[in-house]
Amino acid sequence: MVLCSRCDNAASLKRSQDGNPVCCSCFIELFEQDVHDTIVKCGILKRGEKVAVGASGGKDSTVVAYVLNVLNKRYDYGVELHLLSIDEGIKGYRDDSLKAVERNRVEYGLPLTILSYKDLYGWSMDEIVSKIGKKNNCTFCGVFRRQALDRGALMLGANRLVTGHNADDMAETILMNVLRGDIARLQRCTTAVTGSEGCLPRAKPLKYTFERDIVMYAHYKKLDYFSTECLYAPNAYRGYARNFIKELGRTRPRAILDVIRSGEDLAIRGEIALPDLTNCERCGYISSQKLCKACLLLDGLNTNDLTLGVKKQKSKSQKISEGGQCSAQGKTCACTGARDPSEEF
Amino acid sequence: MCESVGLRKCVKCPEPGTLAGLDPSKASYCKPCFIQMVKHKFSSTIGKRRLYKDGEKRETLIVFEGDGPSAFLLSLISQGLRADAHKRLTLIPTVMVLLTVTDEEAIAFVKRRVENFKDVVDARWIFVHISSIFGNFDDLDELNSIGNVESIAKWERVLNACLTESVRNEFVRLSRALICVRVARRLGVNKVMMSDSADNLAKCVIYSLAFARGSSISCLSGAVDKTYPHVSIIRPLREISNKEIALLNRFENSDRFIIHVDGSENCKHGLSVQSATSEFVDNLQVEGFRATITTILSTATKLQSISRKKTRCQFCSALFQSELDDERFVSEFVCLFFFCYLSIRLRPMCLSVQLFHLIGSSVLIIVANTEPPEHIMVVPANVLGNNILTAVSVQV
Repeated sequence: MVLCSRCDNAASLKRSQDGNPVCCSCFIELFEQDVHDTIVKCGILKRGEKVAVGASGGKDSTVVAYVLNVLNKRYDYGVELHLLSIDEGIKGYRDDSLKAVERNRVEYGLPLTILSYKDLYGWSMDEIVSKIGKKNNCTFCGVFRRQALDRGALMLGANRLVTGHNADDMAETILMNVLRGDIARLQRCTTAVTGSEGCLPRAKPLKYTFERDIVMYAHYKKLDYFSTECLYAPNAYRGYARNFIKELGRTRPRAILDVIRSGEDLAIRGEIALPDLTNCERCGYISSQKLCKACLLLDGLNTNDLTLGVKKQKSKSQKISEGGQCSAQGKTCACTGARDPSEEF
Repeated sequence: MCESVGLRKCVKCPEPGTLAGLDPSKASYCKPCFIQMVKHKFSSTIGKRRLYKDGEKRETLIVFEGDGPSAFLLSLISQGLRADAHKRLTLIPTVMVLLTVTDEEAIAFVKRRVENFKDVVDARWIFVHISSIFGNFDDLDELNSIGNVESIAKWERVLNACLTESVRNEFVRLSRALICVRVARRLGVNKVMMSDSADNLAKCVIYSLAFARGSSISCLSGAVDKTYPHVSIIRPLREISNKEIALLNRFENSDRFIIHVDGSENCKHGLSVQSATSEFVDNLQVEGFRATITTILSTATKLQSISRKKTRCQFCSALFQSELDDERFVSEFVCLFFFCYLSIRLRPMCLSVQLFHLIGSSVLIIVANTEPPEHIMVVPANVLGNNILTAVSVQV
């Protein structure tokens, strides 16, 4: 019988980070200590802040909401937690996951706000997919959800937005940005707190926590979460990166943390121009173009031009589009070419 | 008549296009234009960086390893030296046959095979075993071969000390570059030409990310790598894929330069970070994402480390961060040499490693067999932990 590496009880599992055998209580203690260390070290939470927790009903957001609630009481961060959910309008999927969030609200005693795509944009994901088909619909969903979370947090008066991205998600994103040459996003996607300059900060407390550990933590704590995958996203390009990251994790568990470490070490060379962040002319939210991607995609949906914001706009095309213009006048801009903002962090 | 209707035209001439290379837009070429296109990529990689102009030294160490890309490189060097005055490759080559197999009969077989085509490049040919990294280079002037039974035994011991296939493969890769640089220094040459192709470099970028080497991926995948003092590594096949190399080897009969040895590292199987990465990149390329390799390489050249410090490990080209003192962020593979050093439990006779300085919280490790001693890396003492006393006692 294998014994726990910290006490003399029988071991129940191996930790993903170091491979040490641990028992249930030690695993839970170490898990929460790791998250606490990440919060303190990266400066994720500040006293007196109101924090919106992006809650989708899945395991990551359920665990991050639960752990933040526990650690907030234990270590007295002094923050006010608020659950924020986005209803994309995917029948049979999102309504069931939102029921899980409702149960979490009751169980944890945290206030919950639900926003829907239909209310914010006039289109639900079911309507979008019936219009454009299953290809590229992740682009619309990701762009809308990110802006919806920003809008919801501002509506609540929150100072910070917390998401449940874990180490596997971070490694996948770094890998995908390298595979697609998206160097502007590569510089932004690895920090634990992004958007510190005037816009809403986003924090990822589970940044160094493995997905497998999150599942085991939710299992031992008997947390209630929804685990079905989205039915519109079976062929996403991210699936390739996800399978590769899982293979790396099987071969060498530290490889996932090492990919994140590599991403943190990277920077853009000085001579390469990057887009400047401004505000959208139409809705006023953050954007590097004259029109933000959400407004551009909405234009495409409303005017039946389904390639607007998705396909690359040719510069000599007779159909002049505002969104195709780049704000970096005269400079070689990193945002030329088709980009998939649904992977934005 | 019906057969030629569906054929695409060559993008350079009216002939039917039957060949396509690494270009993501699938440009078709006929055979002569394809050959010209691939050779032009080789010439432009060297020419656009003006490596042999403006009074630059022309002595170059050509690394030959017996595989397809190095056979192709040897053929291009041979043709380039024989071209007319306008297109001549103006370099003075020394060909170094790099041996990685450890079996004596296999080494003798490789040497015999090389003797058959030595005259293709009019240059000095030397044979270097990769285990010479543990030996000395004093007899390189008289002999044309270094690496003896003793250093090969050390090499095998270190490889067996590696805990996983991933570590072993990474150690071989790092040692390969370092041995080429050391031989070049010993010969007084400041340029090393290696035969890394686009496929291999793209895979190297991806699995270097998995080894926490993000700070050095632009160095290890660039056409000119200047991380080593006084020696530049040149990769003229950087934009040419393995498929293009194989086709041109077949067209120009360069296959005769390829040497297959049983027991070489290509035959080793096992799950490793390198094999998973290789399979991943190949699958993406086959699945229709044809720009994978070119995008990875162009991305890597645009990135650099966020650190401004000049302390760079000469073994793996990693830059050290201020977080190095934090054990959580110290990957055990920040430098693989360090890991192998620890994994064999500080047996200094094997690696001839001595601790030279214990400066504050850092240990400066020096490989003693080189002259002058060559700094390999700086390691925080807390990583050595309980082994620090043993390590210091080794020095006495």
